[in-house]
Amino acid sequence: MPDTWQPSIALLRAALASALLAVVAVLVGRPDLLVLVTPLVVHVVACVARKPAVTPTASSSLSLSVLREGEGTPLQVSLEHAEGVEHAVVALNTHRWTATKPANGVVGVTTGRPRQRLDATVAVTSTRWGRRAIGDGLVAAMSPSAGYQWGPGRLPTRTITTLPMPGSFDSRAPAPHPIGLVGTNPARRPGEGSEFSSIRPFQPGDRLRRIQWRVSLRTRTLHVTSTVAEQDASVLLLLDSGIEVGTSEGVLGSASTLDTAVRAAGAVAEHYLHRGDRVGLRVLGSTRRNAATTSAGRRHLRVVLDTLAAVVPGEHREADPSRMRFQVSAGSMVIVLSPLLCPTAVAATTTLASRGLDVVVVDTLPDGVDVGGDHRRRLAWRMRLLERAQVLDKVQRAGIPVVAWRGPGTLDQILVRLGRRAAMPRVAR
Amino acid sequence: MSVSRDAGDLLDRIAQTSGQQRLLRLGVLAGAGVVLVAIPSAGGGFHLLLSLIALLVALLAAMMPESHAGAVLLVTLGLYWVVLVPQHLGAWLLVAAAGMGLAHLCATLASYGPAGHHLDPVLLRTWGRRAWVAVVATIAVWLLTGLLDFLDLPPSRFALGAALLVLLGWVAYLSVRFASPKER
Repeated sequence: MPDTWQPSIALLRAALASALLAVVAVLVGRPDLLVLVTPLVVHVVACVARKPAVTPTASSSLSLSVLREGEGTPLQVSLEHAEGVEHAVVALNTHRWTATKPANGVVGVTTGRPRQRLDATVAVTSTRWGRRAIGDGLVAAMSPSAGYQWGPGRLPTRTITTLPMPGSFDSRAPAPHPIGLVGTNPARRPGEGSEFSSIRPFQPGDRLRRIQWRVSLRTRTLHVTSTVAEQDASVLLLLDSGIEVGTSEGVLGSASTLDTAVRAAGAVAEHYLHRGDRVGLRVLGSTRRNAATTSAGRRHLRVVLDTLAAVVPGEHREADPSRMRFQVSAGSMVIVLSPLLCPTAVAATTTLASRGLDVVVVDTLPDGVDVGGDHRRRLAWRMRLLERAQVLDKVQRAGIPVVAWRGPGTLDQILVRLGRRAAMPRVAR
Repeated sequence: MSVSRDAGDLLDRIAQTSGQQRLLRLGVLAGAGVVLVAIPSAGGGFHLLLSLIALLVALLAAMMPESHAGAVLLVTLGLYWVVLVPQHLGAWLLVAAAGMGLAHLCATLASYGPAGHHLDPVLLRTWGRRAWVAVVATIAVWLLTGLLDFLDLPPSRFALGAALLVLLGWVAYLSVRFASPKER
């Protein structure tokens, strides 16, 4: 930060021009030149008479450090000891996936009278999930009559965490393998619940309010209505951040494969955690913080969203899918969010399916990917898509359903099919 | 390489200027134009080359109001007045003074912030009041010089010496004020 006031360009201009021309006027005896420089002399006198005596200090603060995509927060830049300041200017640097109001990030504040503190506020919006630096820029101040200038000084950078957009996802289909204690998913065993199972003869221990009177009168023996137990499910989200395809234009523009995957993962996690199920997250890629353990509750949703916000695209070269530990319990449902372009994700998917887990692949590759006008790139992309078609075929032949992400109802049909498959007898291997 | 990068930065800054800043930069050109029109009108004749040079400097000052091109412009215009116009205390002198003041005022306001900065109405009203004070002071000095010219006083070495002393004192005072580290 600058530590002194300096004469401004305007003051130097007026002082130099007026002094030089006044000397010439006196030397050559031209009083008209004195009249010509009078406005400049008046300005110099006004500037010098109100030279600021105190040097201000600048600081900045963000109201919120955690946002959702598309949400904004005010960045407040404060000047303390601003008695000598008439006008202050804040100019923030513009970054990708951040927006400011005003759009150029330049805000000026004028004070009519001397103040101890002067505040300038710029609204800052993050348009994409992730962690990014924000609020860096310059701040400067002018004394009355623009005579002296303080700054420009650099503003410190603030880090903001942007959580994925509150996703629109809903599923009416129950989880195929609920294995917990209490929850909302109908289990395969009978127990206390609300889902009808059968009408059977009364047994000691049955509740009287379960007696089915019509059937009991018809059959002359007591019958009761039995229900299936309701249990919570365990869901593991496997997010493939190895390859990012497409252009990310933030929350209002086009989405890349990683955008779709992260937002879908956030939406699915939010849905299941609100239902009382347990959700875990594993990121396949070079992201340092790459896992959130399987747990339940609203607080855990924040952990999952924080982990998603820390995702960075890139492949983990040393990862061996066959030796990966996913820490997933039997009966869990695994939802893989991937464009299926990275061999690690494909290998991890087939490995998990071979362990007998219910695996669903959510394909995050959009329909039309713009690869530019170069015909060689288009040809290369077509070849890549052919390879991907082979991979998709291989995955589907392994009994793993693949579905494109389309928001609410994406998983309904798949989960119903998986539920039926889970109820069917299996051939022991 | 550096010159081309600087020129590129300058063009970028000009492209990013707000409508208000463009208007103020035009004001710098207009102020210089007023002085250049006032010089032949006050009986100074028209000099094409000098006028073109002055306009070129004015253009530079308008493109870079935060530079010292503005100071060069004011000194150039003042010297043109001295060189081209015989002593003249008529109304065109006031017009030329207004032109000088307008060029300086617009350059000052245009250099308040970076490209795209918009000055609020409070600040513009304050500067309007300051401009009126300058106009009143200029008219007062003009009337005073007119009075002295009317009295037709004989040339005096003492008067010249006293005026030079006052000017030197003023320059010394400014230098001390600019240099003094008074702020805490």
